[in-house]
Amino acid sequence: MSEGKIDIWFWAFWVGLILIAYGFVTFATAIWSPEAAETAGQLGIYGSLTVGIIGIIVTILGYVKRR
Amino acid sequence: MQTVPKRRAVIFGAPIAWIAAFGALIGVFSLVPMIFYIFGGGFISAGMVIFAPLAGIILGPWAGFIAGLIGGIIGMFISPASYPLGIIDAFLSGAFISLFWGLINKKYAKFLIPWWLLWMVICIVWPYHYPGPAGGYSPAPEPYYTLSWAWTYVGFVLYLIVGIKFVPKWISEEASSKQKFIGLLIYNFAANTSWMLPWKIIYFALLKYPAEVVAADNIISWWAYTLPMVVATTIIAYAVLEAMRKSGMYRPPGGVV
Repeated sequence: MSEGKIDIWFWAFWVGLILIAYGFVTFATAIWSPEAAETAGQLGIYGSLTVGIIGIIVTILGYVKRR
Repeated sequence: MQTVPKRRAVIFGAPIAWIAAFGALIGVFSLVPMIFYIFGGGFISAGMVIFAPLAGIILGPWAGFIAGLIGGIIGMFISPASYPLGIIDAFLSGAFISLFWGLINKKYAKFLIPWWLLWMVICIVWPYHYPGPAGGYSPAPEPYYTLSWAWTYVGFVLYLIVGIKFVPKWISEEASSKQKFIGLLIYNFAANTSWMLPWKIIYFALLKYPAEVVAADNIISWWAYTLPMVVATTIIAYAVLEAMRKSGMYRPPGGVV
């Protein structure tokens, strides 16, 4: 990722990493106790998981398209 | 090649537009939950975990403080549940995050060390020893209470041993990916364990928590607050720093980019 022009796939790669960090850290804390899961709700649990998965897809896309 | 702002619309070397943008991001993202409290009842927002630390890292402590305060005040109005102490929280959960994260930068060591020590003394003494029971606070069980703040002692020693001398090299542009990641982990751990002192003790004091509860909350802080916040902030800061360096964006002199 260190070479090449700065295009949308460059940013896709790095934004994807940020989405992965947000999604999975939030998901982990949302399910780490019944009380936390109650606060997070279905939206918090599945929403953060979805963000993490989207992050993986965007990161892979960014990485592959820039190669 | 870096893109340098054409006009001198800067505060402490950081473009005003960036300070405003970070303030807006911290404020808006106070609506987005990120770390749910293990005992339920609330969360630490994405504004606090992502954008407030980034403001300190990128803009530096003083410009970051302004951005964090703007974000805290915006957040206080649009997400009052995230800022239950109102304007006090705008400082504790906004401005102070950016300030502490910015101060970990080696060039501010002379300011950070006495500032950090001052908060350590405050946390140990006030309010559970002085004014203590006379002020309506339960007496602190010692040495359990003082030892319960162990994460900040570890963070402080780590900062003194490697944070000043080695971490700046490890997070520099020339360092390897592994060094950058480890360096940012230590950087964020030191920032987190220093910032949590005022964040916690002012809450505890104002809400008059029993000293035993404070000590218990300090014990769980290792994994309930520090672990998720440091891991998330490290990955995100790594991505943002790399992206900024490779894209040739302007680098505010107060920050670590």
